[in-house]
Amino acid sequence: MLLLIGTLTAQTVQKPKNGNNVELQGILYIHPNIYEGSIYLHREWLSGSITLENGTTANDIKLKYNILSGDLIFYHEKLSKLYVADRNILQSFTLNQGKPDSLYFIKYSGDGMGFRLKKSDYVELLHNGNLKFMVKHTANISAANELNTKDKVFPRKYYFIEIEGQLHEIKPKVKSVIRLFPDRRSEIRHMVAEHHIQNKSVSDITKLIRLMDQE
Amino acid sequence: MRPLITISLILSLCSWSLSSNAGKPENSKQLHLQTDKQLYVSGEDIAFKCTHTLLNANGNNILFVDICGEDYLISSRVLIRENSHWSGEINIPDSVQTGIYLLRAYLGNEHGSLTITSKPVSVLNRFGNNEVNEHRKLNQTYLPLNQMNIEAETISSAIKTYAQKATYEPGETIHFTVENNLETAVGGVSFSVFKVNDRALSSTLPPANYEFYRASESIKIINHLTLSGKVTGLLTNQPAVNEMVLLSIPDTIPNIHYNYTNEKGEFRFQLNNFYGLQDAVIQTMSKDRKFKIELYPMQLLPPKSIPFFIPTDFETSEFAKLSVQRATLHKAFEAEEKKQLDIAVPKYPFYGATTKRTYPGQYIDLDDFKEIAWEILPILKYRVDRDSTYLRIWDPLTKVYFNQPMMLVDGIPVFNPADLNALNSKLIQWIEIQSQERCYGDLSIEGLVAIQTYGGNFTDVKMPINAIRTKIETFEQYNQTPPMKPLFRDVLYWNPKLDPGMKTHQVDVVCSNEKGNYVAIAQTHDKNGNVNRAVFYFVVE
Repeated sequence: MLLLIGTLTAQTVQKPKNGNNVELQGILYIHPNIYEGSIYLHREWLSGSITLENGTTANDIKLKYNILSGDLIFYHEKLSKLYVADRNILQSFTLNQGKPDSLYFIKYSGDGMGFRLKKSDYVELLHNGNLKFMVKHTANISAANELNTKDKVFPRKYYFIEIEGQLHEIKPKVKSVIRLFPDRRSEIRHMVAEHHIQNKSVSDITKLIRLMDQE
Repeated sequence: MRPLITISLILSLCSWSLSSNAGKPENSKQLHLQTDKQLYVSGEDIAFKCTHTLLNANGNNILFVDICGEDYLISSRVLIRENSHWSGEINIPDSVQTGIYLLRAYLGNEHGSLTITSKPVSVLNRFGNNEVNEHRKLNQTYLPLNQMNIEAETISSAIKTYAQKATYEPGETIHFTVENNLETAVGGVSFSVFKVNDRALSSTLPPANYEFYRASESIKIINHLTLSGKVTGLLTNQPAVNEMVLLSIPDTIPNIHYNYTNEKGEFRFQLNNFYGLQDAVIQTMSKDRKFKIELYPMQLLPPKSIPFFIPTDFETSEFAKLSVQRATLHKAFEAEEKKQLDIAVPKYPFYGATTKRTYPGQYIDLDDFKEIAWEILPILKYRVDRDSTYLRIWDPLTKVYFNQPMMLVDGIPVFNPADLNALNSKLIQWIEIQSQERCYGDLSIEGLVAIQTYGGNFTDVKMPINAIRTKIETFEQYNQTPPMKPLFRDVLYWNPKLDPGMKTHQVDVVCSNEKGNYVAIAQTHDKNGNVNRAVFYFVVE
């Protein structure tokens, strides 16, 4: 815990010019030291921003995303403590703000899909248009089966596409996209060929979905 | 002789006004204020429209409107802009005596640069109280003001209003046509139809210069609704620097606002989502020293004098008497208007969701908070001794005690646990306990107990030290439904903005049962700020 705090550099919570504070709310967070493997999306603290439901935004906050509990953890510089951001007032947040590899998360407001995605879960928005391409970062726990060992954390991701309010789970592969849009099969194949989409990474599939949305 | 005196008085008034350091800023010509009629009776509402001819879509959104007498404010409103204008109503209380009052409209930009306009309003007291007016008549420098007639010079050919005929019977429907040929009609076209005095009587208009307000260094009008003030040491009188100041309003869903004082001891709260007249408690977080909190006025100070009076011949005229009679009947018979406020209610308390809410009313009556805590609040330890009182909250998750939890009564923070003991089962509606350590902005909340009383207005416990309580006027929005039925009213029709998408409007107005002279006025402004007005007189007989 002390090590976590010790690695943080001091940053100032930005205040809007009108003088009012951006009132982040959270519950005190205590890092659970009972797992093997990281329960966070990134091991290091990332600079980011949090936007609240009231429209205010706090910038330059040290953030970590807990994939096990699905919570956003922020470091409160003035109180020198870690807190879990209160989901009820949070609208969206960005990790690694201002950088090319920034990640934008929103609070999902739809009906969800069983245990994989529930209302108010945080999802990373990979593409936002008529088609919404999202990923939920989560983790499974494998119980320790030997004495003096810890439970193991296995990160997992679930990908979803929302089409006109309807949510569909997909795998990040071209085949999966084609299965979802069977009437656009030839169009998709044409896009893959024309734009050299290699089916090797999520960014490729994101690019494909962006192209499909533009058509 | 009278005209000579009048001219010399006007000249002296002009020179006096010019030398006054609180007249009106240069850009005030951009702001235009109009009302639904010319004469009001106490108890009535003034329907008004204010247009800013040079404001763009991103400009000032907030307008302050008030009525003031000599050195006192009567009532005020804070309005949010709709497109290029503001419109609303402001009430003249029954207690306002006969006389001339100032209706002011003003706004400020981010730097506090003020734009203000004002219009003298003639008011008759419906109970006959006219001491104010009689007193002003004695002042030789004051001028008689009769605004009952319409300025002929402001009629423009770009805007027209007319009806089929000039004479109507009581209860007949008049079909008005309003034509607007202006390329740009800033703020749209307003249309009003109201009863007027006999045109044969002479009228006067106020001189161009008279004092609108008294300047004050501590008042700064900006483009936000703010509550500001100063904290000083009670004994030292020195500014309290970097003190946390809390603003809270009694509410069932508690939300507090905090800010820090600057090097001058001044603080400022921006009141974004507040509506109506609010009952606010402002206090310092720190209770170990004694402070004095002074609030700065939120509106401009009224002028020291309003150098006009209603002339006797008008005050005693049949028209004035009929106006008073009409207003009295209207008051007696009108249905109470339901003014619906568009309120944005925060849905979430600042201390987060709690797992349980306890209702003492569901248990036997307990005489004080000590008994309530003992009997029905297992995780709260409240002890009252002769010398000390303490309150602790047990967190079952982390298994620690919070020794200095926050305490709220009706959403207002209190800091002395002993003050809670006065609350018993008959007073308390519910109790919530937040047993987790939380943060709210810069505030660390190590446990919290929130008590809501049946009264809900923070009158059952003592005010904390270093705290003041005040009423603050915040935003008000009404569902504007112009009264189409002229039930004992002299305004037959008022619409601050006819449909902006049309160049020609058809407006149907039902005549009053009251015979007499009436006028229909269509008015707008061009992009240079010039008033464009069309007038149509008709008679009901």
